[in-house]
Amino acid sequence: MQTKKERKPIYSILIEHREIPLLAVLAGKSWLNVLKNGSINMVMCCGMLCVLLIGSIDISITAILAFAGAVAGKLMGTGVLQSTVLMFLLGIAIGAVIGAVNGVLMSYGRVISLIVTLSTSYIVRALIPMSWLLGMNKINPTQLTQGFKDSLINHSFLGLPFLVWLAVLVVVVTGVFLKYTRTGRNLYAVGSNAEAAQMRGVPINRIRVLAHTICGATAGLAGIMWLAFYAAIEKGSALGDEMFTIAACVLGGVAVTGGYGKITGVVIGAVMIAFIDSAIPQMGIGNSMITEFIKGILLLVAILLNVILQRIAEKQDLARRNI
Amino acid sequence: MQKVKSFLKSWEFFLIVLLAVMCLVFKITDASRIAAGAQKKPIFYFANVLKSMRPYFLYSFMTLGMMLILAMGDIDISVGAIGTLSVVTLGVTYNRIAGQTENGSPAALAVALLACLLVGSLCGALNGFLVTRFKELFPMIITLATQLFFRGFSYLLIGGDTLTFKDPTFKSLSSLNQLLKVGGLQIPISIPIYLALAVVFYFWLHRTGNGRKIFAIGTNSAATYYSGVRVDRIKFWCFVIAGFMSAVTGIFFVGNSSSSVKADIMDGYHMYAIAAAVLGGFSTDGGKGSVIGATISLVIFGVVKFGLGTLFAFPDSAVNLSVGVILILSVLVPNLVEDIQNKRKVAQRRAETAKLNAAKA
Amino acid sequence: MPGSEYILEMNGITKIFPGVKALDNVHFNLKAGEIHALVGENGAGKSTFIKTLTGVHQPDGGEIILNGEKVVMTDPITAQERGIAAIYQHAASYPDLSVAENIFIGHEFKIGPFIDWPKMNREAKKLLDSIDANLSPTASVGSLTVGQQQLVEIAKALSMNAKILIMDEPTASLSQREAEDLYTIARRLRDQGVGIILISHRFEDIFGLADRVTVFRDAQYIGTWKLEEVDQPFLVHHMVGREITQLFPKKETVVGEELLKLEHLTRTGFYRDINMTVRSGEIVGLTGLVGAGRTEVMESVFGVTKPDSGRIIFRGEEVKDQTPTQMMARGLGMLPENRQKEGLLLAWSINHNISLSVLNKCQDGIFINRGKEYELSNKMKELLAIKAPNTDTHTGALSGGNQQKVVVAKQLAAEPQVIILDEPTKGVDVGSKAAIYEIMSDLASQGLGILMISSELPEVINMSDRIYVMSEGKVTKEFTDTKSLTQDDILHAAMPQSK
Repeated sequence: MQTKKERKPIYSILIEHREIPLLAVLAGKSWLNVLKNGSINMVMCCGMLCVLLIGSIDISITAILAFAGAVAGKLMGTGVLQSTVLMFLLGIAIGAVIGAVNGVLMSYGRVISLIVTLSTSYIVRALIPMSWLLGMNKINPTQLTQGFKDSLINHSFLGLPFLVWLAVLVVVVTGVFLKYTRTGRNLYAVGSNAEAAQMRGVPINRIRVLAHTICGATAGLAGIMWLAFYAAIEKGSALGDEMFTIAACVLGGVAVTGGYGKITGVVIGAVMIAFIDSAIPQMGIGNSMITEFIKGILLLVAILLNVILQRIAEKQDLARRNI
Repeated sequence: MQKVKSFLKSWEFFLIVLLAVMCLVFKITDASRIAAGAQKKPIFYFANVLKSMRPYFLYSFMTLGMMLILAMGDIDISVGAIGTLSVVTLGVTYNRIAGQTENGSPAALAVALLACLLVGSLCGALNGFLVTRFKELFPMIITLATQLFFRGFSYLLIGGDTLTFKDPTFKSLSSLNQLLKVGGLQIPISIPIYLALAVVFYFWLHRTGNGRKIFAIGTNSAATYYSGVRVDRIKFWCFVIAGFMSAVTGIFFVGNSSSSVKADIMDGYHMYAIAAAVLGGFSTDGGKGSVIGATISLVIFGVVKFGLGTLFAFPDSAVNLSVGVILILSVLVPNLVEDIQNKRKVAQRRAETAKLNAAKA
Repeated sequence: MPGSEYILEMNGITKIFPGVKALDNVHFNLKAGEIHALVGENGAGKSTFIKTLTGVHQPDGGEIILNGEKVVMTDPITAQERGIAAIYQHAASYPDLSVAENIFIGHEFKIGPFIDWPKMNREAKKLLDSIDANLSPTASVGSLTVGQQQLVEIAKALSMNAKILIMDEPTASLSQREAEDLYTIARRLRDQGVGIILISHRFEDIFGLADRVTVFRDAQYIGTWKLEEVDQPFLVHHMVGREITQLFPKKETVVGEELLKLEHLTRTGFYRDINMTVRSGEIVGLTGLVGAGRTEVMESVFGVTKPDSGRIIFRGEEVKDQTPTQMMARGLGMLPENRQKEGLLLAWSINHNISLSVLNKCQDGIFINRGKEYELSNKMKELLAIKAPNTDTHTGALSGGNQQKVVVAKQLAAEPQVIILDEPTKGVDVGSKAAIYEIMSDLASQGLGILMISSELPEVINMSDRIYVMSEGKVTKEFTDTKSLTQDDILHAAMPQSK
């Protein structure tokens, strides 16, 4: 007797029905664009996967992105920091610190993660327009070194720009971490049954802080990627985009209740979001306002479709049970 | 005696103390600034604070709606976007019917207002429908998605433009933001309207069977369902009311924003609604909170923003920052207090047991 | 007492929680190769005691001596390393993770810092085979039955080379057959020299397995006996602290008109072609293995789920599009199996819980009349003898038996004609069990129709007037005469035919 169904995420059904190749056709020759557009989101998805696995959520990631980008950009603009590598390390560090604060508040402070990250997103975004940071200004291309601006786009390897390779690197590291290390498996354990994990001696609070720290770090990294890619950052950068990160994870079959989710699913989910992003202009719709609208609808439909397809699959399984 | 004791332990009492302490701090700052010659006249006094509550009571209606949702243990992130879409509908409808005529048309305004409230309710109904029919998804995920959808819809309707109305009919909306003169006091109109609604909400939530059921859903929705309560129906209507309240908030906003309508007019305002409700004792866990607490919280936020803004000359963003900090602290502090109390209880027991064991030996 | 006789001695253990003393100077010891049962009512401190042994809680007093050496269990890992493994009441596994991972989590096979999955799966298979569990190591544990999950837990204990195995209510959610399998494995482990601590409410478990038995009551140590020295009434007396005269107080009743009738009820994947009747004054037992579809049928009758076809006739009227609200209004009550999740609002008082289902009776217009509310709940508290200081007591603070009474009170407040009781005595201690049976008996004599879903065959046989047995979603047998029925008769009908 099956008490619980094996989860069947939307992408596996889409692959069966060959809709993914269809999306690829829609995206046309711009598959490179798809990867480029999707890279930053992909990096954040890896962090988001970690917090979703422990049954938490982080909606402060795009605020962290903007803040990390602003701080690093300001330092480069004022000439304090010139090294591209240090920029990336700084971004990761800033993100990790904010993520750790989120994690400590949600685990040791027992504040619900939604409230914590909603608050930190406001706090962190409120810091950006302060006079010691950006003030009323934004970071613009002239404040950045050429080497930094070129680092992700103009260097490529095997035909793919570094931007994409960076995303691939993060995906691989996260994937190996989650599947092949004890700490990684503990994330699943905590999300699957925290009480059991505690009884088995898993330091659940430390694991929770770690997950949030990783998520913050990826968001910080994404901030520097954003800065290098667009050569600009401002107070409202990526505002509301956390929804696309969460959506990619949901589409990738990650359980928002925690404990279940695979990196492969998340990658496919993120690519699907990037397809939607790139395919709309291909359909001959130029107006960015309409793009927003269609994106909103597609996202809603995709998430709901995911559930409906799962229900159909479950119903078919039940019919097969011969009772 | 028992009643006094339980009141002294209640969250509402804590909020009142918090409010009093804040007022005291601001009052002292005010006085010391006069003494130092930084300002000539006192700024922080009752009539002035009351008068300046106007912008902060704008989202009070949204808070009422959010209270319902939080009491059921759900959350609605889309309320800000619903407010925006309702307002955009208001502007677009009015523009369509009355155009940019000189005097405008009261009938058109009535239709536009109805459309605005209707759209708000419909958005709430969509949320309610999705939340009750797609239980596999969390309300948070659903409303995050519908937020994007509503926002997209606003952009579809008016693009990046700003609709501004100069005719007196439309301008009459700004009377919603005028001050009522009662005796020597100037009271923003939104406050008495809010209080009237709050009284209704208070009796509904805390005194009627229906209100009790809303809290029951937040405490344990499965058990409530097995008790024969129509959980889905109540949920649906609470989301509709939350949407309606967002539209009401939107109408006050238009009056406030020099009679112009933009597609991002209320972006992010869900934060204030959630913050005030959570500080007021509501929780995303559901099942708790009180209308009185939420009302005191609204006052606290108003005082904080007024005090920080005028006395300490904090920029707007810093005020946002303080909202975030207060929100975290309002959940964190009670948790920490509980931890300390528990530790103390155990230590006490331990000491007693040690004494007993020593006596036995 | 020579120290070498016992592999474990726990002396004078005391544990304090905020508000309660969970353990007060209790003792326990265990020999290698014995099964030592630990019994007591809910709240007697058994689970806390186990948690002090496994390092989840640190005791506030007393000592733990393991193999003659005084030890301190600072955390669960220390306990595991010293060879103590526990199988908890609610299978404490990770439903989303695979069988192999559940077995080896915390001591995975690794190559360098990385987990060696192929080896883990191979070793898991070996362990599972050694206890005759035919499971795939890669299946996710959430897709297994509770019985299979227990086997995974045992495999996990074996993988750690446990010398002491704690089984906390291992059979609570198992059918008779699965429980038998578990007994066999427990005996084999004992013969291999493992010391087993068995916690159970089921006397079949205790008398079928244990060598010695220790009783706790109200956080205190009562005594330890060899099993040959004791019988069931003796144990019950020490657990409850008083005599229980009659466990199954079945009254003769007048069976009247037909109240509930199911015709060809079918829900694809759950149950098929169910025909049943419940008459006034009758207690009808519905039994079968866990997963046979018993609860699913009754959930459909109560309106929680929708059947695909068939008819439900309630008091002569066909019911369509039923919901719990509508069915309760018609006079059907249901006591859900999981009373903590579906039966009660644990954070609420007895008063509020009882009135929730009948708020319209406690209202003046739309406003709640607190006087009427208290009147109702106080009446119910007295009627069902709910043990609590007053009706403002939170239900979360009550014992399992009293919680169950509150759920019954909630249903009775709505004045039903038919009540469905789903596992009414699950996890309820002996004293309260008798009280619940008495309530059932009283209700039937008042003319209510009662349908009781239960896996505990003694209560099914002794309390029911008629018994339906389900297997694999179908009713396989109806027993109209319960007087001479044996457990074997029922088990025979409950066994899946296809296997």
